[in-house]
Amino acid sequence: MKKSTLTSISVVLLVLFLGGLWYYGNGADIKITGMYASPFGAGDPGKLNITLQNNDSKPVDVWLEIENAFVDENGTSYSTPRLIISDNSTNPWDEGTVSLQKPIELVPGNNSVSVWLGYRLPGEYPVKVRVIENSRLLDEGTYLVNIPSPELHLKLENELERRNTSDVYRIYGYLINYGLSSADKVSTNLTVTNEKTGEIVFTSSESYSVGGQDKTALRTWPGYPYTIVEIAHGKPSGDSYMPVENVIVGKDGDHFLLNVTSRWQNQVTSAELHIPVQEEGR
Amino acid sequence: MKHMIKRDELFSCKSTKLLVLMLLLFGICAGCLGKDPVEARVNTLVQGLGDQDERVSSVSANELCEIGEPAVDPLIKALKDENPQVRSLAAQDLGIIGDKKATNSLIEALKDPVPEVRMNATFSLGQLQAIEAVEPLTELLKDENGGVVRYTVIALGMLKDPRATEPLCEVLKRDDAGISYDGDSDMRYTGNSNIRSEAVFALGEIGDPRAVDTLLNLLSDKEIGSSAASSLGRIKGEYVFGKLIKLLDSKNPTTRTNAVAVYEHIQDPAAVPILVRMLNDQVPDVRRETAYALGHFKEPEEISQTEEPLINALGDSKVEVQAAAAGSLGNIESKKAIPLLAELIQSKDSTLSETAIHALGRCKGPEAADALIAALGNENWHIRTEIVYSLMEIGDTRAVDPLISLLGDENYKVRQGAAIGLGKIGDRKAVEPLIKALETEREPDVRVSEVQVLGELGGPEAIKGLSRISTDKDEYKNVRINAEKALVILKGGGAVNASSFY
Repeated sequence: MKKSTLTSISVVLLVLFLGGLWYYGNGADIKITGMYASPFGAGDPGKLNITLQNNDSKPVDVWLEIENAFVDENGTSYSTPRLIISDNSTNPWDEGTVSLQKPIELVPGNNSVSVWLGYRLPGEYPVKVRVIENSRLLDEGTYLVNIPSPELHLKLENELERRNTSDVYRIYGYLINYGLSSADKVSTNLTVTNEKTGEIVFTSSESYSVGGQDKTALRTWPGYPYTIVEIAHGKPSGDSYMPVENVIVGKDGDHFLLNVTSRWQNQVTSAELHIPVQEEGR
Repeated sequence: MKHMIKRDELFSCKSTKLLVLMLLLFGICAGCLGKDPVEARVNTLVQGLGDQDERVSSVSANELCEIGEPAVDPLIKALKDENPQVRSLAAQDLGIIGDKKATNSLIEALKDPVPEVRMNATFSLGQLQAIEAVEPLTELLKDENGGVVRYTVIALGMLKDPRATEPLCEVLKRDDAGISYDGDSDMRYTGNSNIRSEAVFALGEIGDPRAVDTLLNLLSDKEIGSSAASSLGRIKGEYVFGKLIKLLDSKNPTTRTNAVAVYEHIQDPAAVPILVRMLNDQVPDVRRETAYALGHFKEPEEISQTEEPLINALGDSKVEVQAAAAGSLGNIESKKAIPLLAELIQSKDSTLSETAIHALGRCKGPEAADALIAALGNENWHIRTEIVYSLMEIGDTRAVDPLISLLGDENYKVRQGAAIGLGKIGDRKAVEPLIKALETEREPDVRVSEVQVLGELGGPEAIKGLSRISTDKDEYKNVRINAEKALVILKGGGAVNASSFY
């Protein structure tokens, strides 16, 4: 082979190597320098703020792959290589709010990127973040997100209406949650006991849901109380009190104890109310 | 020295030139691949149209529409994709993007073997206002798939081209045109309309006088006669007037009813005396439609002819005629009718009662407000709520005290309406009663409205009340958030941080 041909081939190979190196390169110098998520509860969208440092001298387009970004009530984890949740969503599981991830342009220096997170149940979730450029992993890191449990409490209030033939107690109940996380399907039981005989005269069971730092009225119909207790002075009024389903009718001298107990996972909370309510100074 | 090659010799070597050229091409391609993110993204999204995950295909389609013009060529190419889902979504997107460059390819797609692709191509051609598609579309009216025919009819209506008039009139004569196509699995194709009613609507859109006779004949049709009336109303003009007025004397009550209905859309003053006479028609449906149509004649000389007959119609033996007359008297803002409308609020028929309330709201003025306030004691909570909303429409300050009283109404919908009404009237006298109502109000929706109104009315007392609510841990979250928002606005603060309390 002629020397000139060898030289030509060498030059071409060198140029090809440099060209390939230019195109495929060693990857941009991108590092995850910080991750932080403000506290948020189950059922609410949260944000993981990621600080990415671009040590290159020019902008770089990267993709973020987030493992465990969303975990449903069955423990199924949804990663976000393709779908991300738009920033105006309040429901991370609503398909109308998802969009395909776009490449993120990182300018030289520090960049702050936020990604959406969401969990249906309390617990600890390791969120793995991978920074990708052209299918090549540039950096990765893990952040442990702690989703606190709801803090459930019950509250009972009553309003008394004195009629000619009876006293009607309208009982209003509230499931209050002081925690950040919501609680779905909170099993709530009402037991009414005749305090003189110790006999249970009424029971009912219903499930309620309550959001984080919110409260839910224990009722089936808006505008109506949870329970009605009628203490008849003689013959009961015969009022059905529809659509209220928890109705107890007693007579003068009857004393009832209303107990409401709510259970959610390992949490149990209860509230009690005596009817007739002891009036002050009596 | 013999084997040494000079620079010139190196570049004159054919193979070297070829390699350099390849290198350049490689560089250009690599540069293109790496430096046109939009094109790369469009290609990814077009691939996404065929994804089995419906969310991915749907989101891909939406994003391609957002990208717009740069996506047109790839989408045109996608009309030939092997996957019918890709072709269908591409056809849909091309219509939404609205680039006429896609017209010929979409016309070609009308021959696609998959009905969904033909449907989307048809609809998109309508969206593109592609007049050149009229003839291929009229051919598609013979398609074996009902959904395709229906979408073709709709598209022809969108194109508004008179060439489609006769083919559409032909469709109305077909035996299979009455079939409803509401059982399709795709949500986009659901609906109660059948092909005939779509064809009637399309003829109205086109507005070609040649359709007048067909539509007038359809006025006797019990199913689509009212649609035909509406389409005739859109064609308008003298083409309709002469022939229509004769149909008011038709022996067929359906024809008379639908002929009268046309006057809801075209106010031909010549018809007013005839319509007034028709308030005495033997058939209640005709009287009802007439009473309703007369409410659309709003010129003073027309009202002078219609007001008294409409007031008389309030005494009709049929509730539906009374209700139509009441509505029309509201439309013409008849002051004379106020006492009678006030009486009708007490009607046992809730529809008539509500219509009278709404009519009084439209009549406006202190007399109407007084009549409504006087009826606030109605035992039906729904009626009380409607009165509150009509008082709100009038906006008279004399309603403030009655609305304050209604903050203690037994029904929460009435209480909520009262709060909203007080906000609309905007009298700060309501601040203290609203704060007091919030002490006992149990319904979250009402509390939210009361808090919002306090935010609108403002003042130091409102701020104090809102501050208390915004820091109450036992409060409904939505109420607390609204209190915070109101406070931020009242104090002239910056962005609202709904969870800042914690």
